[in-house]
Amino acid sequence: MRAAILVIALILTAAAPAIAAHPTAHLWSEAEKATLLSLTLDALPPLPDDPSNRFDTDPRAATLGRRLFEDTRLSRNGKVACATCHIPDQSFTDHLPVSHGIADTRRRSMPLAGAAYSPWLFWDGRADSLWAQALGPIESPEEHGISRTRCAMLIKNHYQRAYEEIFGPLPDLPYADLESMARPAADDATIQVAWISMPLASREAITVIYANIGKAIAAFVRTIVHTPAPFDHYALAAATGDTPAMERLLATEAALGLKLFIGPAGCINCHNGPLFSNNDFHKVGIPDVTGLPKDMGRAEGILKVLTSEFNCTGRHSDAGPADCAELRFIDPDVTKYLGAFKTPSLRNVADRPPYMHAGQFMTLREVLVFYQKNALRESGGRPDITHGRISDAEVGYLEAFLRTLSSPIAFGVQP
Amino acid sequence: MKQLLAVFALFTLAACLPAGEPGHMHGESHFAPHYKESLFRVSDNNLYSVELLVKGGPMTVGLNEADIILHRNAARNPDVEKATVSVTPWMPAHNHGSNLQPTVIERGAGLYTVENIDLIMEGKWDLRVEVDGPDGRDRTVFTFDDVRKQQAIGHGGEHGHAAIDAKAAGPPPAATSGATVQSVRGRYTVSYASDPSEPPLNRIHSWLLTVTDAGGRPATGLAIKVDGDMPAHGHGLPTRPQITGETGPGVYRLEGLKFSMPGWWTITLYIRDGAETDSATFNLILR
Repeated sequence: MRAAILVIALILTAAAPAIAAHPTAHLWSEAEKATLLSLTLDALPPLPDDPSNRFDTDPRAATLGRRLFEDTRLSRNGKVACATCHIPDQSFTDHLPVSHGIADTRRRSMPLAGAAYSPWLFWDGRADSLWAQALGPIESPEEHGISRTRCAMLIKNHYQRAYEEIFGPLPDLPYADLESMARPAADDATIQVAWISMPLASREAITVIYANIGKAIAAFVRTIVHTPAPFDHYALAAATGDTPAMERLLATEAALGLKLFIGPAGCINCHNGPLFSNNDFHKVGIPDVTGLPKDMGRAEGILKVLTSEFNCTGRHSDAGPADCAELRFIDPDVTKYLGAFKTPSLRNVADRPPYMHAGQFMTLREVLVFYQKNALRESGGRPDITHGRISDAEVGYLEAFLRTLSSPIAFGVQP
Repeated sequence: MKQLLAVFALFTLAACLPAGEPGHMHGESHFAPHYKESLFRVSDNNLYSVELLVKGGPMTVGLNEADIILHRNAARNPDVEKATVSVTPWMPAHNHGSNLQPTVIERGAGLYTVENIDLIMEGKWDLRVEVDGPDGRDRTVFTFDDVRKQQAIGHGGEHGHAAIDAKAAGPPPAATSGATVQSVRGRYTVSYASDPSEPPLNRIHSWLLTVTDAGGRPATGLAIKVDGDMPAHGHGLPTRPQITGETGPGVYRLEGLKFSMPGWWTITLYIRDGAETDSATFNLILR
């Protein structure tokens, strides 16, 4: 009976800014405390040292990478830099449903904090390292829209000293006479012809410069990390049973939301670990966007990463064969991953609408309501996608909890 | 007639529960199966026990029929009456189901007959059972690892009946490191040692498998294939692990394992020695 009254009270106050104290909101079992700690930044291992990029811990590379990250000369119209769609003070995203470089892309820009921990980059995981990721947009016609030949010229003209300090002398090439739009281009015959018309040795030398640009940008992106959020402080307080601190750090709704998150709602199935992501790919049945081509998601990413010249086993990688476990043991089942997208981190999620891979939902509430109402049907009944039966009030609690995952993002400092 | 007998058997057996042998335990519930050869599961939220009896032998490609017996998780495990039961065949590796929606007919006393279970190709099938009954909605999944076309001459033989699946029958035990299991046909004893010792979440890692034969001698030169599954979720591993070498007599290195969710996982080894095949399944709980 008391429970029934409580439930009614919760429902009545769902729209109000805060609910009255809840008797068990801040009570956690030992197992739950361990789960909470597993989600904190304290549980995060040190930043990995990417074996495929021997410059990724070099501070000089990070400094050069940051300059390149912000340089709009790395674009066809002189207006697009990495930072155009990964805006540092906007959680390194751009708040657009789909990003806009030279033209509209088909997906939303991904947040970069903690990206160094991810074995797969992009929504479809088509890159297996930060440096391979950085090289994709530069040659993409919709994003930076330039080519590796133009990049080599830019390095020669503007970054020669910084580049050579890290990577050694620039190769002897006719920089001034390079065709400015030449790259391996399955999408454009003219650009492809311009590329294969160059001597093989020049193409090799230019691609090495291009790969090094990626490695420098990666050394910078690697430094973009999260700082502790209210949730992290809360989990530590919960572990020591410091109830006053817990009550101060998380409102009752947020604590109830956290209970759902790690319990009946099953969010933690995929959003686990300190970055709230298993870095895996799941088909959750997000509706396609009208006007955009059907997105194959991970199915496409698998084929791309396996054939990428910049993957872990490629000749521009510094890794030994034993270092490339993720690529060696990739699940190549494209049928299984058709329409699957990467589980995004939930850190700072409240600060970076819209949501999903093409900005299908404008608010956190819409995302949660999708999981509450439609995900089971839209995903074809996959139980790992369902979130149990969540009431409308509980959707509010989950949202309140997700808002406790926001914190300033640090970058540019070597850990 | 067979159905009548089944109903009769159900009545008599129901009367003696739960005083008999404990059967399979799951969490706080105390359910027990009625039939030795049945597949028995407790639904995800512990609301019901679901016992599945495939009629006429193992599931094969084509039309199949099965009986489902449902009990509630309450004192004396009352029968589940007037529930809406839906059964959906699903091929997790292919992400598709069947062309036919099976028909479920309530026979009374907790017995439901499922007709038209149409498995359209060979391979691994899940049978998803959803029960909307007196205690609410709940579900479970039965996995049939190796559904094959019906054999022309009898059943059995070298390929056996993988349809009766150890995973579906047994609830997950507590996580154990260095766990040891017997293979299904009893040819081998297999144990694993994970590196790190507790299999980690979200990290690609390797195991060493030690395989001995029935006489306790190292089993060398085996061809072993590996498959992982999350039975309650109907999906497998995010990677394709492989045996990358035999590091010592009967010791095999298994690389590329990765568990992407907390919960119950199974790792099944398909072991081949010349023409002889066997399989062994580890259960583990990732936290």
